[in-house]
Amino acid sequence: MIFTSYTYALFLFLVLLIYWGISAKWRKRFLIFASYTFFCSWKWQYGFLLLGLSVFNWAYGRWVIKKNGQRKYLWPGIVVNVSILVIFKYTKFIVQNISFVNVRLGGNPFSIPNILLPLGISFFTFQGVAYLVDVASGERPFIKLTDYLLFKAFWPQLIAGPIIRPREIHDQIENERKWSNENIEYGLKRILSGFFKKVVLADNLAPLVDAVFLKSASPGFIDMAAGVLGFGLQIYFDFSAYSDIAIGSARLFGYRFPENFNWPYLATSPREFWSSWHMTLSRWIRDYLFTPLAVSFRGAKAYMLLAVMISMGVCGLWHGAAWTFVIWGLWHGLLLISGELLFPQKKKRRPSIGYMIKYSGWVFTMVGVFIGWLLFRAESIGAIQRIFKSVSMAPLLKPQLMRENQLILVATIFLFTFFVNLLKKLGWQAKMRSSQFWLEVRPLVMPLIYAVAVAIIIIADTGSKAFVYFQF
Amino acid sequence: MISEKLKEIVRHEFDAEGIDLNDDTMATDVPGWDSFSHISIIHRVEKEFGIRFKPLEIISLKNLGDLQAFIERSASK
Repeated sequence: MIFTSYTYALFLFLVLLIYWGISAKWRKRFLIFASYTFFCSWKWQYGFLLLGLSVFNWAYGRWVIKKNGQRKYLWPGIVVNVSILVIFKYTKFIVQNISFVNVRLGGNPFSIPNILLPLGISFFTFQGVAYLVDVASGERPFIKLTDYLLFKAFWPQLIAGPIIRPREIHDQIENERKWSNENIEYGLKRILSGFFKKVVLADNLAPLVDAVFLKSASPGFIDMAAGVLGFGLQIYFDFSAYSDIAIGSARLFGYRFPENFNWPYLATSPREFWSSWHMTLSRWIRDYLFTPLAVSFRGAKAYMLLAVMISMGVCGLWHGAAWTFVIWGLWHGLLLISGELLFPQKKKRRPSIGYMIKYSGWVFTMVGVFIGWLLFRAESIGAIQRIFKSVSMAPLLKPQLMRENQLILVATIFLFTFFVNLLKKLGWQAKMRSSQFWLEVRPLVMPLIYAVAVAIIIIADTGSKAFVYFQF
Repeated sequence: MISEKLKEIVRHEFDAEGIDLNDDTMATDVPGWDSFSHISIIHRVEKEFGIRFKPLEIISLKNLGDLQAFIERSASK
């Protein structure tokens, strides 16, 4: 069940109706039931995997780590979560690589196992690790199994985050959620915004991008630049749309989720990019990988850089079992380190120099991030080589694949996104919203905007395409 | 209460004298406090107070009050 489908809209409507209609004591159980229905609608057998891992983490957190209070018990719990991730997601990758080495050494290739990836496994295993680490470091565990099952399975965050920390939702799960008109209004707005970003923007950029990355395509420089720019926009709209629908859906039931994006394409340094892109993953990497590593490697600065590279390499591998993702992660590690060296942010400067560094920092970050998207989108290292070869052979400024109107579409969406983001970041949007004029016209204009948005979504709908992040 | 020494370490990291720090101050309250400055502050605290953190102990720190309490506990051992 894809978020941007009529099936999901119907599912959400029915669950919402029943949820607020039944007695408060049954609501959590009903949400767990609805979440498992959502998860099992894709492949029911994996429902047992989710249930099994949830019961394990709950019991382990409560009865082993908390009871014993000894940190050495943490490791077996982490190993169980990580092993499940490795078995389902990385077995094929590992066997492929061993087979490759074996063939090079003169042996025969191994048969490659084909394991179907359970939806959301990267998210719910990482959340499992975070939960056990938090309990081991003093966080209170969930006492009731139903509370933990809801924390783990609540569908808006199950498949692709946000990766919620227990302390952000513990109180919300334990205390009764109350109906509020504001929550419903906010939730619906976020869902609408998500539908618009995904159906109208991301899904219409997808075919333009796909054309550049096709195996048989011979892109020129302009095509590649537009393809990479288009993909950067597509993945941003796709994933932030998913997050909007997740946050909005949860809010309809009275739950507040943390944000996942904060205008990442305005970042003036790579580190700012990572604190505004997929924020709940980057803080996971920061808290559970980078910080422990950097603290253990205390002393020399070189070790800190090593901690950055290891963390970003793992971050890349988390996105997919392929070397292109590892290279993408390491590329971002290099960007973070060089960003620190080239654009140190803390020193006091004259404002004019400060602005100059900020603008050049933005250019540096965007060029780096979008080159990164090329690595991320390419299907293999061979594909990257193929694209560069084709670009080097084609005339520099003559598009080989894209028509002018397609190039204009990509450029327009980029500029539109950039200015909307800029208005928000500079606080102009908030200023406009509190103006007398806006307060007067708002009741008339907003319903019109919502109606037009719904109409555009229905017209632009080309059949639900899966979210990019579902494959992770 | 946050000691002057700890405040000094944090202010030095951000090169900001007037920054308001108290028990409830969290990393997210201070502009620019990110993973790099976090590690830098932790290393500085270790050096100045002669203590050593374990990774899990760092994860459990939620605000400056927790950090101060940890420093005091470690110093009294």
